[in-house]
Amino acid sequence: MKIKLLLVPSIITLIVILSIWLVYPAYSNGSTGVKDRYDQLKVEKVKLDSILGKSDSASKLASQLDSLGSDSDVVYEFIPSDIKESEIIDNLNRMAADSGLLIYGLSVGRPSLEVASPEAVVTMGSTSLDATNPVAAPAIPVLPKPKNFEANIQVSGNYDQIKTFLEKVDVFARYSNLNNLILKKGISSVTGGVNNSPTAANAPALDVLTANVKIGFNLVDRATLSGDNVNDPVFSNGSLDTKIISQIKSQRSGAAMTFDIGQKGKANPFMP
Amino acid sequence: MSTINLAVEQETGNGYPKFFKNGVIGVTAVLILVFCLYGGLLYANKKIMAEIQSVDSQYDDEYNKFLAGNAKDVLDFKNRSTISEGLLSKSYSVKNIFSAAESSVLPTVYLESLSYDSNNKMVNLSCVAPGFFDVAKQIESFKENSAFSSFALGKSAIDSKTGLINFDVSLKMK
Repeated sequence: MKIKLLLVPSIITLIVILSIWLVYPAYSNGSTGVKDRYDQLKVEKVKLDSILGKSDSASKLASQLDSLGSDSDVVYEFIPSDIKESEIIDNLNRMAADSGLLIYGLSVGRPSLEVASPEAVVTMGSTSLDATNPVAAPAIPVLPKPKNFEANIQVSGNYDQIKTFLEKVDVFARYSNLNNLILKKGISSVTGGVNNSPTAANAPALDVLTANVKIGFNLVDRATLSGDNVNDPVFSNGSLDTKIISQIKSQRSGAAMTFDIGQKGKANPFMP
Repeated sequence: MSTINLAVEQETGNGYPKFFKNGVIGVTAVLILVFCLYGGLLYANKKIMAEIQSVDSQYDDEYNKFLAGNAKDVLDFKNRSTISEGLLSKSYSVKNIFSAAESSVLPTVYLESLSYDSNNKMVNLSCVAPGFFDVAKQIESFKENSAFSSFALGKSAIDSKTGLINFDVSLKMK
């Protein structure tokens, strides 16, 4: 009789114990409970919706880019992904020749390695699914930066010719910047004693100037998609901002001349 | 002698009070409910896990498709556009340097050399003037030119051969 009287309190105690030790942890224990899993599921669905939205947006933007046709080449011509030394040499040579200048030297340096390459990426966010950290830290887009290099050209001519040449460089279709200019009267002082020109006399001619010009160029490696830049704001936009094309066209009217190697191959490479 | 009746009244047929029986049934039902709830939670957990894995796998597929698609071309174009905008806004026309020099140099003065450094936008000029009066006028002319933001006079000396004054000037372009 006494044991039977204790039955109800015992069951109530059991209910309380089970609720505390089993049921509530199964509902929520901070990581593997039903509530926690459900929250995790919601995060994963948001991520899935986000990537679907980005894919959709990227397809539309890519179609817009395709519809630009050759206009988009203006941007790639302004900042190419390759150094294209041969085109630089060819174009500077033609610009100098068209301006009536005599070229003493022309060289192209190597792109600066000081600028961080796209491979040097510091991962700030994660796209993997992590149950303990369902909301990953916001990713910081890491995109390739310009790598700068210089072309050095030594020319000789009169003031107007040098000015014309530099103005041609100024509107060159590829990005170019006058980094350094040394303009002096005469020839020998800048060119280091090159005196094979008919105008190079001991006493410099009145209107003959020699210019040592350092022109800055750059290149930008092609962007690659990774976990860091999939969250780039461009994929959230409905359309691609293309006003840069008209800006480049308005400021850089001098088209880059295409470089053609022509005939190549020689039986005796030592024969002049 | 009076008699005392010590017999108690029987409440139920089997000897237990009614509320006791109802209580046992109630708490037993609650206990069963607790077990059912626990089982339901375990089942729901399993279902949600399966759904998470499905969404996860779908996300991985879409993510890989996104990486392999033409999104990188869009990103590359946008990156070049952004860099180009910055370069165009910063670009400094060489015309400014020549026009500033041309508009400032006096007819009696001429330049021996001109150098320009884009890092600090400095223009260094080596000038030749017939006399110190012209040097003074030339200095004033440079100072009055709004294309320059600063002016500094360097060394000046008379050339013993020609009798002309050689003087250096440093100017900062705006």
